[in-house]
Amino acid sequence: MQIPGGQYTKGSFISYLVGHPSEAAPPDPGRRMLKIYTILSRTTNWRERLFKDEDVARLGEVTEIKFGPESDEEPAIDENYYVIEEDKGLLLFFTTATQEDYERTLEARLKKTRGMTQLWSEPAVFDRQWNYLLNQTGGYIYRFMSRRFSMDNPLGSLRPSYHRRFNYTGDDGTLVMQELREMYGVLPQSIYLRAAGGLRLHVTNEGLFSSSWIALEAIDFFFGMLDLMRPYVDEVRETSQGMHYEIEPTQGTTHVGPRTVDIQAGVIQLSEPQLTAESLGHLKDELTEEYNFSVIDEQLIQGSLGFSATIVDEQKGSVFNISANEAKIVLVPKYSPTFESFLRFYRAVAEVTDPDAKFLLYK
Amino acid sequence: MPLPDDEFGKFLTIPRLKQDYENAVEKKEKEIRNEFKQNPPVLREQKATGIGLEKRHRTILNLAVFPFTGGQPGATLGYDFVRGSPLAELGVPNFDFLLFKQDPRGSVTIFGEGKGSISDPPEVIRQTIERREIALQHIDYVKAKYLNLPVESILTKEFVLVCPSTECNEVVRAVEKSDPKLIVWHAPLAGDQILKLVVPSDSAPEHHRMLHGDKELNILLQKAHSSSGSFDLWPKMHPALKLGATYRRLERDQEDYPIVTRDIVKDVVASDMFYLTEQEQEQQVSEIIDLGLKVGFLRPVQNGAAYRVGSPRDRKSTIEERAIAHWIDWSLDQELATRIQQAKAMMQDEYRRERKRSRSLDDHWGQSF
Repeated sequence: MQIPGGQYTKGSFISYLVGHPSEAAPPDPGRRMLKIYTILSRTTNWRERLFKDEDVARLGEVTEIKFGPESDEEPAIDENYYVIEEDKGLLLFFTTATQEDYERTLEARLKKTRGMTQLWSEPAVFDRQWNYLLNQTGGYIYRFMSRRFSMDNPLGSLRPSYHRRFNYTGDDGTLVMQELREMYGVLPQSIYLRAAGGLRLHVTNEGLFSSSWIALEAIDFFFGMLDLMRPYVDEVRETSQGMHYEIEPTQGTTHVGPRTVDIQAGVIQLSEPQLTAESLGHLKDELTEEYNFSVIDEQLIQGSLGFSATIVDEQKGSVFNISANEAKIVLVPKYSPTFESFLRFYRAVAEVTDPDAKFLLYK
Repeated sequence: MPLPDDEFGKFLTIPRLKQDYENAVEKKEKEIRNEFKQNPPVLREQKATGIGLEKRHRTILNLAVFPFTGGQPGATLGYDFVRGSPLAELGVPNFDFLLFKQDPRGSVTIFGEGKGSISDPPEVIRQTIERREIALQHIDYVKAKYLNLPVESILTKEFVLVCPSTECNEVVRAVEKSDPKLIVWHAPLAGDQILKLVVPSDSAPEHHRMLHGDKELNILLQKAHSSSGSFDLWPKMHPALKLGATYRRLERDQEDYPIVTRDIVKDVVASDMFYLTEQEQEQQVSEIIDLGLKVGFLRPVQNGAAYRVGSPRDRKSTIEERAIAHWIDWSLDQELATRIQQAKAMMQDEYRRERKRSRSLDDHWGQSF
């Protein structure tokens, strides 16, 4: 993607894109798709954290980032991202980069940088997202990927003990996605829609929205969808970024008192008291295999269920404690906490154990 | 402590006796070693059980103090958790935690003892009352060192015993008979994470002494929400659990081995045991690193600037298992050595008596060998 230099506002940037699609997108027909990645950030100095080596230019309200090609042999395509700060800590990255380019550049960077993460939509929110797009576009789903982990709580599905993943292409995708959900309990992760005018859209539960070409219509759909998601986005940010463990001296009324600690814990509330030793064991396995966490210093007590452990986020280096009973999991931040660790843990619980689990501050 | 073999041998002088002693010691040592060799699973199991019990203890402590951390209702009432294992550094029997409410009209401090399991309630009560005595004797030290209070300040002192909910009835009955009284809290090891005050029956003598002087605190403790996972490290914790400070946060060295440094351990210690002074924290760090080296878990690299804790591809759970296994092995070795020393000491006593008998016979016959 390429736009001329200058000072842009969010509005003038979008106007430019929409008014000059062939100039903005590169000539290569394989790279015409407009992509918008939604990223959450804890800090305001995300530019410095993410992009030490790249060319970073401020074009008014828009930040331009040029990633160089991987090696000198490749055709020298600069993959550019244009970033709008939609809100403090809510960033939108516009690009025409391919999936591979994205994984190599921005995604790789996000995985290593503390304080930043792609937005993950919990199942109920993602449902609202794609339903909104379906309604707005008057279109249909022609391709999707749905999956599930084995679960004790089977949602009335066949052979719930199997991990499943469906990749389906077919013009009856809208119906099939629902049927598979009912039969096998699989939840959608990535959905392709064809709009009434022929425009194709792709949306994932990991913060990606893309359209087959740059069009005002597509951008409108995106912002409409984002508006829908805002309450959820704000809530998870508030929760995960509100959690802390801080040591402070107390100020007595007459003199300085002893040191105390201020802890704001979080809690994942399950929709039903359904945790058992087995489902915990399964969650533990997936946390380690699939989500890049380590689980140590465990204690399991049966009868009523009592489980506690220390969780290490091997991706971001943060450490927190969890303590669980049948109905909830309390998270206490410990060393080097960072908000996206708690979000990823929440995601693990929602995907492996209870899609209707809620993540809140522990009050 | 037994004397070294050669020294004792010299003392025995009589060659026959010396030989007998040496044979007996060798036989006894072999016996004990065999016992240890044949029962490793049982012995290791006992050690693991010990660690499990300590984790329960820690759970009760965490459930007891969490409501008194900043932002929680206990702290909002003014009661803060300010010290773990108060008075432990003096080497006296001590409580597990200290809470403090600063109030110009009269401050309050609460000493708390947590129990992960209670096998003998009257004994536990007796012990706690003994600790109460000691705490009162050292109250000036407590005021100065932990609470930043002038010695002459008025301080209400309350004493609490925290037990698992399933075991509190027996405890309460024992407390009702005791003098002085104690306040009893309980928390469940499993299920809902809450902390509660036991309200004694009206018929119990002096039952108001089993309640806090602060009515609002009593009301809060009807049901205080808590969490069992706040503090991993406590000053006087089981060594195998203390080793945990060396593998929670790790870095990688140039060859991708997982390593820990003194600074990292210090961070962990300073976080969990925030109430210790700088010097006390350094002491804990040294203790932990020394222990890690002693049991063979930490391997110094870079001239001791860092310690390797495993191989590049080890999972953290593997590293944890290894740490505990090293500790158990080392602990069993220590036990074995102690048993052998004890047996030797007993044997030396026996042979001292034997030597005395022989000597008096020699003297009688006027001969010496």
